Amino acid sequence: MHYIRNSVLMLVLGLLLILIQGTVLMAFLPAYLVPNMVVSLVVFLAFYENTAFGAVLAFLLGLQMDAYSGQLLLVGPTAGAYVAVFGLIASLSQRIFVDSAIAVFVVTFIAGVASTIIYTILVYEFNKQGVSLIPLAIPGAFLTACVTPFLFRILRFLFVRKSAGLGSRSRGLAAL
Amino acid sequence: MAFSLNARARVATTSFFLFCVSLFLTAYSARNPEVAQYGFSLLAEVQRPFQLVNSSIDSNVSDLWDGYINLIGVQEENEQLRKRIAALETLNSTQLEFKHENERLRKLLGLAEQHKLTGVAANVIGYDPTVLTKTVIIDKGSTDGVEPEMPVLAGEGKEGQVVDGVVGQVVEAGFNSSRVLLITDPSSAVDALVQDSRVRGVVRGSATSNNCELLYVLREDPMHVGDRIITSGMDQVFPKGLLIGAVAKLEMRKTGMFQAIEVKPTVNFDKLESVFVVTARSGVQE
Repeated sequence: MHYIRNSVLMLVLGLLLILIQGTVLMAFLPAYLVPNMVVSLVVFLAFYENTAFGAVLAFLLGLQMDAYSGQLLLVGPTAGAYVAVFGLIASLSQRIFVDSAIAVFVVTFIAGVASTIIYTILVYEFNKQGVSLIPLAIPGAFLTACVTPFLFRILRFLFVRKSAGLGSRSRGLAAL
Repeated sequence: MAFSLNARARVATTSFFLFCVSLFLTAYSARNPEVAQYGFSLLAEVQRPFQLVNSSIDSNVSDLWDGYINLIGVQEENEQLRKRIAALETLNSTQLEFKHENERLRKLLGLAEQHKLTGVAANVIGYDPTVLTKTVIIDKGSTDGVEPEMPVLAGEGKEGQVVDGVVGQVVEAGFNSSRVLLITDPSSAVDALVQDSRVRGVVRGSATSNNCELLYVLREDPMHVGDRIITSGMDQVFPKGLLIGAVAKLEMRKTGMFQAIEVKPTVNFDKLESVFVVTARSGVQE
């Protein structure tokens, strides 16, 4: 039951963050400086829900992004990029002390750049110029990494039970 | 151990499986663009109220900023503008003479006086949330007669009114909102003409800047910085004669058949607020 509630909450949160990115932030910041907070959600899932269910949620968040964003009118590349990033971080998540803001910053920055690279590879056949966008994604990934430690605090408050502790990190959403 | 080897294998397997599904979906949606259309239509309806509220707040904040706060240097700017107005008034009278002469010649030649464009005015209510593509969301959709491939121009054009410049074309139309692919997106291409020399080329967006490139202009074709680029109408999407932009940079490569030409669009895409979607042209059955 909690699984369903938290999954819906996570997807609604994803949609809200996409909307904030595409409206409020885009109105005040140049496109390359807008943080991609959905990547932050994927990183959060990789740490706190590193299960098959978490992978499905990362995939659905990617599909949401694909549906909202232009993305060459393709459905799937962002979902693929997020799932790949989720898989990579989830496999390392037990070795990273995620309570440190610096660790969250570094992991999110790498995740942001990696998701752009994977996305670019997936759509290379449709947009060969896209390769030149990878350097442009770095400022965005940096800002995403800057906001993620703060976003993690909110996400922990929403999704992680205080008494659960680090031991149940892998059962984050399920443990609620 | 909370995260056992089995659990890891399960996560890796699921991630790999979903990655393969993504690959399949990407390939499938490339062949069947209507799949993306369904997703957009569904999400667009959910997002529209939020986008409208944001658009309204954004507009009010911008008005407040422009009207009261952003007044630094206005006096100096005012002086410059006065001088510029004086220069433009002189230029304007010359242009009026040209215009009248042009109209007389057009009548003589029996050509159509002007593009009669009909369509709907729309407000920009959202932008692409990533840096990877350049699209905007407008608040008019299929219920207002907007359909994919319709040209979108800048300004609040009314019937028959000449508008500022080319914005792009509709690529997805939801019920009450649509997505417009900007001409600055790398996957956008507009058949174009140089207004003075009538040299033809294709204006394509650039991945790394807000400018466009004019492609396929031969080395021997006469080109100058400042040349105005207009639509040729040959692509069957944009009506002929609409202003796209002006040549900002020219580069003659040592090798190759074509010149490297950068075009600065007339439309300021960073401050795009209202657009005009052309739903029909006179004499053209849409």
